[in-house]
Amino acid sequence: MAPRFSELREAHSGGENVTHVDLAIAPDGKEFATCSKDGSVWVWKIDSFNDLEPPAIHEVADGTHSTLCWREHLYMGVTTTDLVTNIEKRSLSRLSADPMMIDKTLMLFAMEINSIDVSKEYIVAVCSDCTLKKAPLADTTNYEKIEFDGQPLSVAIDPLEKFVAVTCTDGTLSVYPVVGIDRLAHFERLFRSFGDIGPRHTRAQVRWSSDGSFLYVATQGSVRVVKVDEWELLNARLSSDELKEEIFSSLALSTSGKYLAAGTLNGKICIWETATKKLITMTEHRHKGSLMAISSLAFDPANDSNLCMADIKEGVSILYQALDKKEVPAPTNFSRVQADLSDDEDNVITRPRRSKFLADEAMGSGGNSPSANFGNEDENTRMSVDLGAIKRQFGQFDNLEDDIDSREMTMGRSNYNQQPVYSGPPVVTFKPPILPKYFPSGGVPERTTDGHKHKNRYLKWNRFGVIRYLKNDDGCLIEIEYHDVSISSEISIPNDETKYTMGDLCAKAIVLANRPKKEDQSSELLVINLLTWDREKTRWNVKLPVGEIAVDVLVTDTLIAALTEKGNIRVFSLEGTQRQIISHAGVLSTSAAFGDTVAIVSPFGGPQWMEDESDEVVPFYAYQVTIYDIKQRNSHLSDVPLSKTVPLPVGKPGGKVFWMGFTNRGNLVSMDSSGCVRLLSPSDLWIPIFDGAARLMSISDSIWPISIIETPKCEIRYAYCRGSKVPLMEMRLVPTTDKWELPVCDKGSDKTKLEGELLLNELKMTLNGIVGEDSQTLINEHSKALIQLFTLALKMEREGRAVELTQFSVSSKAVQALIKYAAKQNRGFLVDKLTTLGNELQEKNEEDEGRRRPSTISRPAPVLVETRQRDADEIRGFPEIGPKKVVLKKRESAFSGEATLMALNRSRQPQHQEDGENEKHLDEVTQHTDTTLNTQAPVPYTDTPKANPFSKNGDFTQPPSSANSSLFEQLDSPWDRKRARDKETPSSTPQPKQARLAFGSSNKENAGAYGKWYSANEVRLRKDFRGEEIDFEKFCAQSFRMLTPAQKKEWKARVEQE
Amino acid sequence: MDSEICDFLAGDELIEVIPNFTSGSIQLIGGDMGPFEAGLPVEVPLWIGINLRKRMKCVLKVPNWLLIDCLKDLITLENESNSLLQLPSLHFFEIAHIVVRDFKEDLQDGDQVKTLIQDLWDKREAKIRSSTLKFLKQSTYKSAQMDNIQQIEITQMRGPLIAATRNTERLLQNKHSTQN
Repeated sequence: MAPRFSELREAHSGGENVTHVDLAIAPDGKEFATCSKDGSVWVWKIDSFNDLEPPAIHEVADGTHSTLCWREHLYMGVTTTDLVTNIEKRSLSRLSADPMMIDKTLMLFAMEINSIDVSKEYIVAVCSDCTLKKAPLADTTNYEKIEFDGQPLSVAIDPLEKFVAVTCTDGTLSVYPVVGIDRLAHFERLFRSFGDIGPRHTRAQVRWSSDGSFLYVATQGSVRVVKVDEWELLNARLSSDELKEEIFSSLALSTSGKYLAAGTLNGKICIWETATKKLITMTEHRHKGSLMAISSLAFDPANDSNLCMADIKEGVSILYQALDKKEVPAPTNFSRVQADLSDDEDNVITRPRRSKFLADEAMGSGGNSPSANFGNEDENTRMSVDLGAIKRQFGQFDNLEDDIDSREMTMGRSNYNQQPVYSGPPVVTFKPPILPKYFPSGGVPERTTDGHKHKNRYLKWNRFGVIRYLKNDDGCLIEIEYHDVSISSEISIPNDETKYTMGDLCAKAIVLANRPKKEDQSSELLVINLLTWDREKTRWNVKLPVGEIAVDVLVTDTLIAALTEKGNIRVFSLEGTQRQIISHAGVLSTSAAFGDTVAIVSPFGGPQWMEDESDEVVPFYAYQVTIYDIKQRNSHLSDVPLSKTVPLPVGKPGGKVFWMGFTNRGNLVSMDSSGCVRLLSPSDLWIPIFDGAARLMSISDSIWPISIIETPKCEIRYAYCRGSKVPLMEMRLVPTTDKWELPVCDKGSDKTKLEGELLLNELKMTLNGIVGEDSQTLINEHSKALIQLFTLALKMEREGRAVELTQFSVSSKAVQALIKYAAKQNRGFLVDKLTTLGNELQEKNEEDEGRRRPSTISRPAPVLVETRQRDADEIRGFPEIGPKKVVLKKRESAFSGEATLMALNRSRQPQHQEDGENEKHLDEVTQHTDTTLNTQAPVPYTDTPKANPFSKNGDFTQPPSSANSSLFEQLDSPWDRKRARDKETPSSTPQPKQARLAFGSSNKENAGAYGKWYSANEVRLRKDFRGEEIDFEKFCAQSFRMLTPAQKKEWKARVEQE
Repeated sequence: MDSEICDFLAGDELIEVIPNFTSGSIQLIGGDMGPFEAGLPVEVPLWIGINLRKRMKCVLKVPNWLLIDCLKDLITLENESNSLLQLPSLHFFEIAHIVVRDFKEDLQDGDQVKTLIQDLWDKREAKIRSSTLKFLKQSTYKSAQMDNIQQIEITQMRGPLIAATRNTERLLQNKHSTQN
């Protein structure tokens, strides 16, 4: 009898989830248990498995981790939720036999448990947080913990209870003692490293031989063997030529220790004899016609010939006669190839005789070809290739019933899942690429890429707050929490009935939407308007048309947008008026909104193909972003295009969009799957401003962008997710802030540091606009960086570079400063060159000023910080209907206060002036005001930074500003400055510490009473005075005070008479 | 110097809190604090953190060394080391005490943290006591050095140690006087 599969049974969610399923044989060998992620354990009886006896299903926890081990008790990884605190807890638990439920929690873990092994006295488990914990069974609280660089996949204790073997996602195998944490052996690059654990990746299981002398590891292309004595990875592998492309995942050792079974990700099950390393059988497993990856295997303890298996689509089956080498009996009229590939004699393809089938000489050659077997018997040949025959030859039986040539064949009902194994070149099954699904930017999708469903997740996490989706046994809840509680306190909304699954929030409003499951239902939106003056009607609902299902909702300070499956963008005002319905051309990938702008990412063009790191050919798409300028008012008046499309870079081919948003000033930013954040400049160039990949400590980590800030500082705020691509609510993540950093070359040197500063400064100037509130500061900073680069170039004797740098200056003052510096350095030729260049630049600038045109598509002008306290809204390019705003000049220092007042007075003059002379001035002011409105946001009053007199830094007097200090003095070395100070002549006269009174003033023309008395008595006073000249005036003052009031009055009268 | 003063001095240590309000810099005698932005961690002295927490204006970002796993590692290292381990903060016990008392809502598994810190304190105290007794028993050396001891531990042992050394001095004086 040949290997044959039993009827395939579907367990757990019945194949809805694509996930690993673990399998363990009971100690008595009569049953085996399976577990997936649904929180249940299914126990099957081996003997009656084929009789379709239903399994015993035990609900043990809220979730299970697809890993279990059955010794005396059943041990598994479970997730339980505390009813009181609603906190999920992941633990390694022991289950009681009857009833099967958790009777003891052995160890707690931060994340999911990937693998467990239990021996007589020890227990070991590995977790996705890159840790391993091992402890004696008698006292699991006293565990030892080991940390890894990658996530551990599989763990096994050797039969002699001396060693523990662990494989990790970084492709390594490590061996540790059961007691102790000193590593005994380490092997690298056994298989390709990967990030997330999932059913599409290998489990890299390890198994010890029954005597503990060998260790088997499932790797790529083979099963590797490690000799325990010397910890040597043997060159001899368990493999064959046909298996070189296979990725082995699961292993099982028979109870006798003679046979080792291995399952691959392509559905192959191979069995070797451990002693001779000879491949005995190789079988393919299919799940509903498709090859399905094997998740776990286990030999029947009573019969080495029977092999229990589970696949990643939760299909469970038993392979009977797994060790039998004989030819598989043909289910009627099927062609097949002998399973034993090592025996050439049997390697024939046999076909039944068919009268109408005509051989084609082109189909094969040699004695073993199909044509050789039947071509001679038939009278006619036909040149066309028979598709049905090719299919049969290559083992493709899927569409056999549809094949014309198969009409004569009787398709017997077969209980076999087995398909004959093809021995020719590997046939790649074509899987058409699927368009990427929509995902909300800033929110965690319902399902991750590996099919895992998040129970509790963030619907949105942005710079305003978070929206949490919580689900437990008691029900479902939406929690909305603002970072700034002054906007709103925490809001909780019961979600059992409404089932909202998407949301967004800003400083003014919150929007939630649901996604109905039935086609005859429609999505419902709930909006909470926080700033409505109608305090009693803060909430409103609206239902989308039947059949139009929302995929995402966006909210800004001015609008609410609902994106639907039909590609419509439905725009509402904050109070609920429908304002726009726009159709988007393309598939929705993700979206973001700011102000009146909505940006949508779509893939464009067809799929493109490339080889990925594991040499698999995978499809990828190019992306573009469409930016809509949605006008709620006067849209009918607009005659300029209100949308534009820009290609979206995603890094190297194969990259994807990971996040998209707007800065706090309304510039579009995106992040790709490699962690690179790019900003769309006003000139439609994508500039990389941050490299998230450089911040990652491990390949399984990721950064989750929360917001990109332009003012006051250029920063990116993100959450660092360890071991996960998305932030999990259990992690209690705290945002991290980092500065923008352009990816310049050679980061260590001063030159590139300055170049990076220059680039960033130019970018800020581009974002700030031509006339912005900080433009002068930016120009100064730009000039400073340029001058520093200039001096560096001169120090390195690179005059050519120095001249070139001059061309990059943005102000004539900078050019003048460079010329002065060159003159100080006695570089006459350079001075001449710079002067000529300066003149040319000046002329060019003047020409450019005249030719400058505003852009046709209006961009949102730089906006102030969006807080509830700010009254200033975005300024559009169009004239506003309303009182003209007065532009206040920013105060630079206290000394410019007068200038500010003058400016204020000038701007106020139009209200009071009646004189015709001032009409012209009025026009100028008005004109100035108008242009300023168009190009400059009104600058609110800001306090000048006051110095803190008590500051520990010693910055007592001046606010931090280097505007007045000489740059070149700063560039001087400290020794130069010290020498300069030493050369200063100290003041000759010591300054008196006390303020002097005005009495002793040398101004004798002072006609006061004292002065009069002094001039009359000076001679006498000098005679009477005995002391220093300095103290004479003091003496005189004291003498005057000693006069009687009458005398003083007399002198005063004399002065008045005169 | 007593434990209250140690607590007071520990109040000047910087901790990270996450405010739920937005405000500019606050100028204080000791220096400027902030600016504060809702949702973003900011470093403030501990006494300000306590004040803000009591007014429900912030949430503490628990220092890494106060997490359970790190505390367990510290206890393990303390066990293995013969001398006193250098703790992550100069005011380790004071800060831990303040956090457990004033920021208990922000601390996960506060009871376990308390237990672990108590364990650590007991181990260190045992080491200090045994070292002190050894020192007092001998008469060859007149001074001793102990590294990595915390201020509050010094405060704790100062009284008994001074009393013991004075008694020892008196006894030695008596002995010498009788010999003479």
